Amino acid sequence: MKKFSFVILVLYLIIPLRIFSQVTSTSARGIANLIVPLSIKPVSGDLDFGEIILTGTPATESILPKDGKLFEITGHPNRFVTITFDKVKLDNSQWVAVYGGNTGTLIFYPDIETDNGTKIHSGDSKRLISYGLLGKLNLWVGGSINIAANQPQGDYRGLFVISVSY
Amino acid sequence: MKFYTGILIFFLSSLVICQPSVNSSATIKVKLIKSLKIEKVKGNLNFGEVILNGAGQNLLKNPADGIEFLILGHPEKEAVVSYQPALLYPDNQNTANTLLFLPAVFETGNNINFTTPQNVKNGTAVHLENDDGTGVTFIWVGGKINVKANQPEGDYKGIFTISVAY
Repeated sequence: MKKFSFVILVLYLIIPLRIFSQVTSTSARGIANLIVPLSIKPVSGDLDFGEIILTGTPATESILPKDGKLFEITGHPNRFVTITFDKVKLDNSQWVAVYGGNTGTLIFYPDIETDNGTKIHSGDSKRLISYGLLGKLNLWVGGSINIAANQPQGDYRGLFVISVSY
Repeated sequence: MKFYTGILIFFLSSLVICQPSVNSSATIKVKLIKSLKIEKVKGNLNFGEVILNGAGQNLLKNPADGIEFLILGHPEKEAVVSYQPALLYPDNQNTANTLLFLPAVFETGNNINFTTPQNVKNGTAVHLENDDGTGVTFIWVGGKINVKANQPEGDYKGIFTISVAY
């Protein structure tokens, strides 16, 4: 049994080395195709519209992208990424469950820009700016909501999701 | 063998290129605040007929017998109540012979009756208690008028204004 285990151990150590050595031998082609994994993370800011007093007339409230939330995309330098997002439905159902009153919804329309103010539309493809071994792109997210004349009061919540892919 | 390894590397690198989209998110928050309103429920600030007797006298109006107002707004928010003494002018508008109404203001929360009233000084805040999604507080206004010994007879009138703000 000990002998068998020893053989297994030897095979376990040798086989990966062999494969690795083979990979190394063809690395000129393989490494060239490897790319930095893509990621997107929030850096700062928020999408909090704060308190808005209802006036009984329709109104539009906005957060400018520079005053909103900043996301940073990192990936392979100079590589193009596709950015997708959608409008978001907000509702006050949790608030109504606590305080009563009428439920309502709001639609959040995202307004996204890069550092230089270039507008980003869902589905746009943008090149990651090279910073050494990393490619980066900052996205500033703001947006607007339209408040109806008879919009019910309450705390509205919704989740904005932004996706990127190579 | 190199051929198969090359195939394997190509396949693996394809997998890296086909990295699924990554995403990040942000919560959107909006607080829609019900606008403030103050409306009269009942009562008046009529001191009635006063017979001049040649001596100074204080006319009193108990808040419970004065005017009852209802403040409507956002539940669980504070509203600042502001008011000032009011000048009463005689019919002939002789500004030398005015009376001064000194208001006494109380609140009873969401109680429509004058029970356990709390004094509300000018510029202080009252709490709007939740009533099915609407913040309410009842306000009671009475006061006093000092009539001088040599006060000319006549019908005196003035406007008392009370304001609420978030």
